[in-house]
Amino acid sequence: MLDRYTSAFSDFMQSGNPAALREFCEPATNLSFFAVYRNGYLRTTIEALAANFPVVDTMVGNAYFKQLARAFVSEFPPTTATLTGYGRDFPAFVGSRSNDDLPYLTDVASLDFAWLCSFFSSSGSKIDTTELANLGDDIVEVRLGLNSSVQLVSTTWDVFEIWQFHRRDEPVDEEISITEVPQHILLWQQEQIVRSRVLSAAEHAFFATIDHGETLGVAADAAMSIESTFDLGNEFSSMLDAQLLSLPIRTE
Amino acid sequence: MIPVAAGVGLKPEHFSAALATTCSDLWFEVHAENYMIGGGARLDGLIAIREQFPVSLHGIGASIGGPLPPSRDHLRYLKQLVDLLEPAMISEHAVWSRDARQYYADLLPLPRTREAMQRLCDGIDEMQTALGRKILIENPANYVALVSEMDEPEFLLEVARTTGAGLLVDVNNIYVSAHNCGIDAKGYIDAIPPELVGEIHIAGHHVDENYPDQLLIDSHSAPVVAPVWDLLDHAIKTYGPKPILLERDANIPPFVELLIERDLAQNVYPLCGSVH
Repeated sequence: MLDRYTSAFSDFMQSGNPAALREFCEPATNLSFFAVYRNGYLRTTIEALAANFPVVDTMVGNAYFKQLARAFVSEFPPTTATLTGYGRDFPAFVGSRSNDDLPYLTDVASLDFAWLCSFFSSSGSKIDTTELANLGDDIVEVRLGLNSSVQLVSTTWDVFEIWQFHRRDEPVDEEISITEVPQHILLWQQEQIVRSRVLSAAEHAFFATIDHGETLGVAADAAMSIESTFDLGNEFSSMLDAQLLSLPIRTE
Repeated sequence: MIPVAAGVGLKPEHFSAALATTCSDLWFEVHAENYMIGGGARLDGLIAIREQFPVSLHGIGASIGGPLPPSRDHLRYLKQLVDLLEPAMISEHAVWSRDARQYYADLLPLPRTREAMQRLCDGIDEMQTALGRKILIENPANYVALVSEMDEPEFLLEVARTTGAGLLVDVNNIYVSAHNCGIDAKGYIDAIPPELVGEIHIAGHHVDENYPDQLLIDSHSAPVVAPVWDLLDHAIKTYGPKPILLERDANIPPFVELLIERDLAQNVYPLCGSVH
């Protein structure tokens, strides 16, 4: 009996038709009142998506965003109660919807979600630079990880600047245009603030190689194969300043 | 320990104002699911709040009465949060919200049957075992009258006695359920023994636009209305002094407005002869 009831309720939450719930209600019950539960579910999930993808919401307008979000909720309903991270599939979903006016929307959604992931991450522990300094030339054999708040996003369109204006809730410079030029973008959390910047192709190769667990030397080689003047010392120093690296320090 | 005083449901946008307040005996309650995260400013903010005030964790998504047992991952993340914050109280709703298909992001009702009671007790047992401590169970707001074998107080009392859980009596939910389903609100309150009550909730609701005479919705989107204040008076006279929590989850006003409304709740304690 109870399983039939929850199954009928689940069907109603999908379809909006409460007829199968009649047998579980007192005779005078107005079945239309079940809509309170379904409306609550849709409102909560759509609001969660709007909170998680604020720049997409701003760029497409809230009315169209709600349409997109409702279609997404139907196709990719949440499976956990922590809606703070809901929408991992949303960037690909918006890309799959025909949208000739905003072909770069997937990239914008990817940046929104990367920001979210960084925001809800631990900023990690600081690296002991004295220990690193003692390694001397052995430093190229060191394996470090990226701080857990680091997100690397590669876009098809150069959306970073306009995304950043919207993310900061600043007026968008009308001179900015979006073209089909790929970008690599780094997001990380420092002093409880999510920061972001564009990476060169060499920098991206360096970060991505470290992220794959390779040594600093291998990461530097990957960067220099793209840009022969890549300066490991400068890059490493700025990464330490920005607290982008994480323990443990492991040498070969 | 939660003081026998009025507290406020806290949102991250109010962390700074909350940390600056000098209000005595203040405590806060937060939705656990919003803090089951890896870290960052939001979690750090809550830790700072916890260092200054008693905090209660209020769950909205464990689905303890559902067709599936509570998710092991959910309980594991909740336990991590409990270990981090050491909250004075933990509560959940006597509802379900998850099946094999998905999470429904709402508080779905259970029929008050022996079968549903057993399922709810099993879910509470799992949660209490996972957390290593007792929890409080909250009565839902009802919008439809399901065919049942007993009334809600009887159902909840037996659940509490079977599991050892306490009860979180939401007087706004009782008011909304009474209006929507035609039960006696004061009779409901009278049927619950004071010793089982660990906390009382108050909140605002709104009138459904399609059925304005028949349907109230527990939205937590407005100030508490006069009949709910009256019901709180009755609850405090009946149960004696208990922690009272003002909930507000939508149309959130400035923190100071919540404190003013919280003071109204604080003023009900003299009704039970205890001065606070």
